[in-house]
Amino acid sequence: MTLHSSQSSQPGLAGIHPQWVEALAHYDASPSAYDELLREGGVREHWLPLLRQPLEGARGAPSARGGSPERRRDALPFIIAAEEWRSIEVGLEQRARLLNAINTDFYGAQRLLREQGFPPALVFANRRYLPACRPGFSTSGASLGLLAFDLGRAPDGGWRVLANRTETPTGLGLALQNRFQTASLLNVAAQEAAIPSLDDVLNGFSAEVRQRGQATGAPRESLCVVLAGDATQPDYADWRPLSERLGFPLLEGNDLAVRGGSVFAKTLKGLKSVAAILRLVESDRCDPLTLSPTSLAGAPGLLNAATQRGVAVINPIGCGAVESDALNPFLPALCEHLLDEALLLPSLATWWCGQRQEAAQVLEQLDQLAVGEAFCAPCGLDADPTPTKPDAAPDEVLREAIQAQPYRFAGREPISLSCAPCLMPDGQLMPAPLTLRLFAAATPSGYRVLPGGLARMAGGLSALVKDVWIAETSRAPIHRATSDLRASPELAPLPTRQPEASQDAAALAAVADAAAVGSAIITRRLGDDLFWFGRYLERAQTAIRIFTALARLIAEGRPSNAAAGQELLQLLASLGFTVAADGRSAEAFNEAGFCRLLFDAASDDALINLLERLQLTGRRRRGTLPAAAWQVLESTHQAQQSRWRVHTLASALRLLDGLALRLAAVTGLMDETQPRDQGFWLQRLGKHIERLRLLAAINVEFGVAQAPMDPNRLHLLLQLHSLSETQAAWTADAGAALHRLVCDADNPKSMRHQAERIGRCLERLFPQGLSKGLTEVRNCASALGNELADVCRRAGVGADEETRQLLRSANARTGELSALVSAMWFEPQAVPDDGGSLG
Amino acid sequence: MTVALALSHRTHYAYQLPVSQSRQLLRLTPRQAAGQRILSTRIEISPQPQEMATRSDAFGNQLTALLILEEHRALDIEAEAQIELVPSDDVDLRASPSWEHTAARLQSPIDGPSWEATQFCYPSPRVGLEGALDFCRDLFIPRRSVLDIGWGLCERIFNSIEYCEGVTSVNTPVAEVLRHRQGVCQDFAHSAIACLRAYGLAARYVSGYLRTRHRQGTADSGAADASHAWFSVWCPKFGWTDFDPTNNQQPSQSHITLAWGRDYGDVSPTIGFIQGGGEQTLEVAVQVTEQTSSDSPSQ
Repeated sequence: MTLHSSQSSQPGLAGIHPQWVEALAHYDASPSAYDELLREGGVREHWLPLLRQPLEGARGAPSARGGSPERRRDALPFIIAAEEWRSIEVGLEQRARLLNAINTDFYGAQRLLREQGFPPALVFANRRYLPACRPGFSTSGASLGLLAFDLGRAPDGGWRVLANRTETPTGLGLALQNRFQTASLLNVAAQEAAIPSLDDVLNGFSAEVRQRGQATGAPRESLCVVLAGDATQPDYADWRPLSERLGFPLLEGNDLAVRGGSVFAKTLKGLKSVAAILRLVESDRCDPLTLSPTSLAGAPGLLNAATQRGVAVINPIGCGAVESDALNPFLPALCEHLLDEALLLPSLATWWCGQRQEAAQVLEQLDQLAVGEAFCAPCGLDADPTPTKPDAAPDEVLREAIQAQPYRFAGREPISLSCAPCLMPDGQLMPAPLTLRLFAAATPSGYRVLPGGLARMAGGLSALVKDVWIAETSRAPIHRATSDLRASPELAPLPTRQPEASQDAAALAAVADAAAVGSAIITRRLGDDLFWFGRYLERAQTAIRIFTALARLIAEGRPSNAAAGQELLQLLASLGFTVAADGRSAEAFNEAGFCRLLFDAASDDALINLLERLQLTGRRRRGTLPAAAWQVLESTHQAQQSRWRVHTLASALRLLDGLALRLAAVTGLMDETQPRDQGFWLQRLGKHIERLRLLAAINVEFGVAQAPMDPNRLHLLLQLHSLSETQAAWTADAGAALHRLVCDADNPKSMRHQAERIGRCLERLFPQGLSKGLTEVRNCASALGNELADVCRRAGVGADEETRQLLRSANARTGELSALVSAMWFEPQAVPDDGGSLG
Repeated sequence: MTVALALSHRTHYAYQLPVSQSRQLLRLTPRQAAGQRILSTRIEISPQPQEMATRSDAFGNQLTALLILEEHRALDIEAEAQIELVPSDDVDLRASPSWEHTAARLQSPIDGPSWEATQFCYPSPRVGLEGALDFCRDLFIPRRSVLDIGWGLCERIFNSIEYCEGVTSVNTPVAEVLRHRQGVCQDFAHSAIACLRAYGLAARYVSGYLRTRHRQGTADSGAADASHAWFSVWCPKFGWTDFDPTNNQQPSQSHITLAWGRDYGDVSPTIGFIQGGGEQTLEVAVQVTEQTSSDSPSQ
């Protein structure tokens, strides 16, 4: 950050925007804690450029959500002075090298323990050390690729490392999102602050991952992927943006297959070779065969492939062993020994009870220290790394546990963290204690620290996250040593982003390239999701139509409607939208009964369950859904929420109309914007199979083949097909209706049309491949087509029992077809002969 | 006198639904161990696996990894081995170093053997140490020799824990076994290991077979042989010494060692991961047959 006004050595409140002056009048900095913004007699210099901007830009920001609904993003960044940042940067770079060297030794020669006298319990009592990762006492020699660190500033102003995170260094995805959104909120301030871009390090990291992948000898066109959990995991909001930014498809263990010591992604186009895996699944969950057998998050055989170097896994499986607190007291000595350097950035003072003297000390100060597991379990982003003073009297159970197995425990010095201003929902500024989560990534030129990160509020506000900005306050050249992003070293009064433009363009192109590669990978699981998304969407729309028709019948209040109403209720039950219950249907044919029925979640396919599943499936495959369609889909949440408000037919109809419109919008947006790739055709396949199933059921139930057809019923039938009155003009008699609703291939709501489309979807999906499962699907689809053709041949004859029979068998056939399509995902795939370059 | 044995371990899985893919990790090949010579080993799988590879695991056990991509409703694994058991010299247990000396050595290992032993000193996934200290406090009298304690522990467990099938599973924690005092050989071994580790000693879990079953009242011939487990304790100079708490004996030409590790989890004979299959039934048949006549029975 540059000060282009006269440099004042004592910056008071001069030059600060009046809105800040006003807000700061109520800013209540704690006298005992270090305040990041204020110092004796004024504002810290590196905050000034931000404080010159109006505060309302931040205030006006919508209460942004940092990925997960529980996490809130603070519009104000955390600002750190560049000189201070440089010392952190150098310290973390050293720490990354150090932890990597320790991990290499733990899973390699173990010389540190064997020859250097470090206690063996550091490894063997460490439950995060996994012997299976060191088979036959050989080592894979894999090194750490991405590390996260939690830092806090002590009252003396110095920084301490609170935690090293190597297992699943989460938070980077969130930091990327944060940077983007905070920077756009405070656009002017950001420009003036000239915050260094994250791209440089990220591009380096992505290059390094690819390089390590290539080093396995995998074919050139092999994939680099991110291995993470599914969308229901709390850290999913962090993984997705990271995978998108790196251009590595986000896969689950289920998407991977291990064959002959190599790893492949199960895509719709067959197995595709995987060269490198960015692992965000905890080590012991990576391989149910050799590690925790109950976990399905990994892939069986993965560990062996990794130790035999058939695939590069980053970070290497088992590396959680080096993030233990027990290592803290040894880091200075380890650093001297392994790197021949003095440790630059201290850890928080830690006493590991695996050593006799330290254990005695911890037992003596049980009421003063934060005592916990020395070999802590892996933790996600929600864990607060701050040790706090115990608030209860020392516990005898704990004392005994420490005495019995001392090596399992460590005491840490409680820290009172520094505070930084946060913008409260009421627009006030409040000081809150915080920790920084910072990242180091391996690049072809060694470990580099990301210029930025995540500031997290500690204690009760742990759900609040902030961006981290680095600001220049002196005339020293900016970031010469650490960031080559800036082309011009000298300080312009107002740094412009001009010199970066070409770099940005290159980076953007790289991202676009990577994204194109990413989108081409449709794994079987994603394929299955897309297929079901198509089906749920159609199913929900049909349910809405039937409910709407029923509501209208009730609203009309004609006694003659009761019979038709009963038939609709039966239809709802037979399609699974409501639970089939004898005697209950009569109760449902009135206002209160209808409203109850509409929100009854007892059935799997109840409307609100369908909407929820649609949202969940949509969320899982959010990357392939047009952004607008995703937003519309999310807005259907209100249906679930409105259940306590909808008590009248009028409000129920309004809700149903709103839902129908929204889902129609989703369908339309997807048709308009989605590329016609495999994903699209799978979703279409789902839609047509589902529509065929529903139409067959409706037509059978409503006796489309019965003559003569009561005009009211015919009207209802057309309504269920969502055909308008004018379109209905030509369906005056049952024979014509039968033709239009079943046989007319030009009517997009006819059964014949669906059968034809199913065939076309299959052609587009699998132009060349003919697996066993696919052959069965094709045969089934063509049998169905023939059956429908038979129905149509009978159309001239009119409706009779045989026609009904044919309709019923068509109905059964759709069930079979759907089961066959689902079974296709579970067919084993063979390794392509050319090493995975298929498709 | 050397005893020649033929070992056969047959595993049969039957599945209710077809299995489209199966990945298995087998530890069914007896490892090299003191007191036994492996003459030949063989593993037959049906259906024929698409991939089959052998390697050794982190503890030096023989692993066979296989992948079957052919649809099947039954899986047969036949492991056979020809083994010679050689008699070992009698050792004077009381001549072994004291347990305090041994524990101190393991804290700061100075040579290769003590180094390899330290990895068996601490709690492991299936052996927690809760409840172990109290169970055997009176055995750890000052300066008592390690192997004497091992023997005492073997006796203590044999006498105070009831052999009882179906009460525990492979996941039952040691603390629970010590509380309820019931279990099978695996629980007996895990309990002993927990006790030794609670006092800072190195103990490992050994899986294998009994030549004949010596469990009191059930002694019979080779026809009903079964997989077995016992423990081994380490001390300087003597190295590893085996004890079988299920039968209250020190194995000598009666036990065939298959594999060892920190606990059952490190040595489970078959671990599988299948796609499809529905419910499955498992049948295991173990047979140990003496090949040549020996002039004296074991022991």
